[in-house]
Amino acid sequence: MSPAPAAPSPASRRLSLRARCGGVLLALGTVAFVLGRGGSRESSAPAGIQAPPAVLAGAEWTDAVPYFAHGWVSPPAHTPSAHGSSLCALPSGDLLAIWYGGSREGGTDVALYTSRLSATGGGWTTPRMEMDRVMAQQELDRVIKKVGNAVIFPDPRGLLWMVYVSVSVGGWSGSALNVRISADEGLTWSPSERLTLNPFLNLSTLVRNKPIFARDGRIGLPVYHEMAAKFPQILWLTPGADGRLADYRVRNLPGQAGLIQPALVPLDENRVLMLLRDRGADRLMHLSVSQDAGWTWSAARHTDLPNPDAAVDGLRLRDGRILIVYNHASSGRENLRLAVSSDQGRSWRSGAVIEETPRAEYSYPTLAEDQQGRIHLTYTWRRERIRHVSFNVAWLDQRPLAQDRASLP
Amino acid sequence: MREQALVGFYVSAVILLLWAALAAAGRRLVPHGFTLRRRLLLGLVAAGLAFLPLGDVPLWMRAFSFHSNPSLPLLGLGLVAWARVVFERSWFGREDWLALWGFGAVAGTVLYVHPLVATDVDVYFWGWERGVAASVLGALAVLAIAGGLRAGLLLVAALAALGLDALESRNAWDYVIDPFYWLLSLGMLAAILLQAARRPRRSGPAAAFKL
Repeated sequence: MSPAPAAPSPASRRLSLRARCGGVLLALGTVAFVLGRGGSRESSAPAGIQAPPAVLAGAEWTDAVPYFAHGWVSPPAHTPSAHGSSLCALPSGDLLAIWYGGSREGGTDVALYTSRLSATGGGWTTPRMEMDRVMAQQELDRVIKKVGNAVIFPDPRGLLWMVYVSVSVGGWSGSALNVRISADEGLTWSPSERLTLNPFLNLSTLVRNKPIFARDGRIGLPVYHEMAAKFPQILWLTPGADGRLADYRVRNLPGQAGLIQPALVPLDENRVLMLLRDRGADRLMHLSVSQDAGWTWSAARHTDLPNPDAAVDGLRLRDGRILIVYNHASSGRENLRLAVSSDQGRSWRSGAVIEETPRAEYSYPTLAEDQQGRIHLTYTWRRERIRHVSFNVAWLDQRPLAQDRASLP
Repeated sequence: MREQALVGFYVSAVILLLWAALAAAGRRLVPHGFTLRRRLLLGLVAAGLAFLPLGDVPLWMRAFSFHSNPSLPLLGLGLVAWARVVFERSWFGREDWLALWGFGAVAGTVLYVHPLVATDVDVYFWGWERGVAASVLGALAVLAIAGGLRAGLLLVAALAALGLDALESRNAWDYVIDPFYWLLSLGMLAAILLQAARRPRRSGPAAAFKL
């Protein structure tokens, strides 16, 4: 038996002494070249976190009268299926939502759509198709079977980012992430850039929730891995001076196996709370805390709040309380409820019920605060449409809180 | 601009590998092999095949979809195979092959298996630390070349590619290891060890390369 053709020669072909000296010099010179070009890479914890752009731009709460409204982001029968919305407040004051819709989740006709709600009034605009399988294939120079979850967010400099999932091979566990950037609040976008975040054929990195913003300009986007082992990760994106992505890297979060779709809530300038969807047997919402602006994380602990293997989202209110939206059940996504913590996530008071219908599905909620301090919530409504709910803190505080008080064990 | 260079680099690699595969097949199918002129013509056939539409995308794009970050050692192996079957030139000796398979097996096992065993250690992350990664790879390259191994030049090529951001990945480890190179290395090492086990003890593993 022979290992040929890969091992064609039995003879020794060692380099001559002169060639060795030349080769060593070449190697050292190449190392110097790489080091000389690697100066911008950032490898340490951020110095701190800044407030989200909408909060920085906004005024103090003046909204003392309770306010609550609801409506639809996606029009009726726009697509047979709609899911996975993400919402953000733009520097102009408008709200922008993104979601994916098509004949069914994972279908080849699924596309990403955006809709805008103007700060000056009116309703949500007619959905605009932003990305589908064919567009992604053209921009990324590769086969794309389907597109999926997307998040959209402005950075503190006003650039709007879209990070979305695409699949070339297999199901969702074969996902990879792509980035587009807009300098005009989503009217035009840069071509998609594929991120390589996994050494094994770049498979299985997904995104669901909004990021945190470090004071040094870096963006900490919560992502997660699904193939073989399921665990959360933080993707650190470094914007360049030219408005493009300058650098990125992903950090695994150890000791949090089986927990995915992390949602980040800044507690103060350094501490960040992470809420996690439970894919394990506990079916309880889990928490982890970072003391160094999202760089390292404590081992996850479960709360007493149930989690039916469903996405959650959270928001730090301007008075320091934390608002979360979640499915209050151990199985099924038949309700959608709010909960508030006044002690930075140590205990939670389950609150207003947003939706509750037996055998229906209300899922993938996302929260955003506008410049006036109003809170906006979008979510998947029965897999058919994207629903929008908005309220203010006065409304939140007048709601009778549920008696089932949950706390960390 | 970088995207265009990346695609050009990738298409060239696919054509080269197709060319080597066609030439190797020709050598097996035709009793006395192809003439040099015909072997060169196979290069044109390979270029045509690379752009042959399969479904709605060309063949090279299908390969790129599945494996967009081929490591420099894997590309180097392809280049060596191409040189051998097209021009009948052997560039590597037995020590080079052993070093290549050994490096691929160890590096791949560490990178791909460790997350399943030790979750507190994130080896892949250190690939983004260019100072660390370039120093480690540079030291390995210097050791290999100082030992007379031509295979060390593949590490130098990987470093140069890293400096030029020649692959889609920005992680240094993707420039020196990929799943196909890892699996090939494991297979070749297993074959060498099996062969060595069947031979008299005095021969040693390197003797397994004797044809």
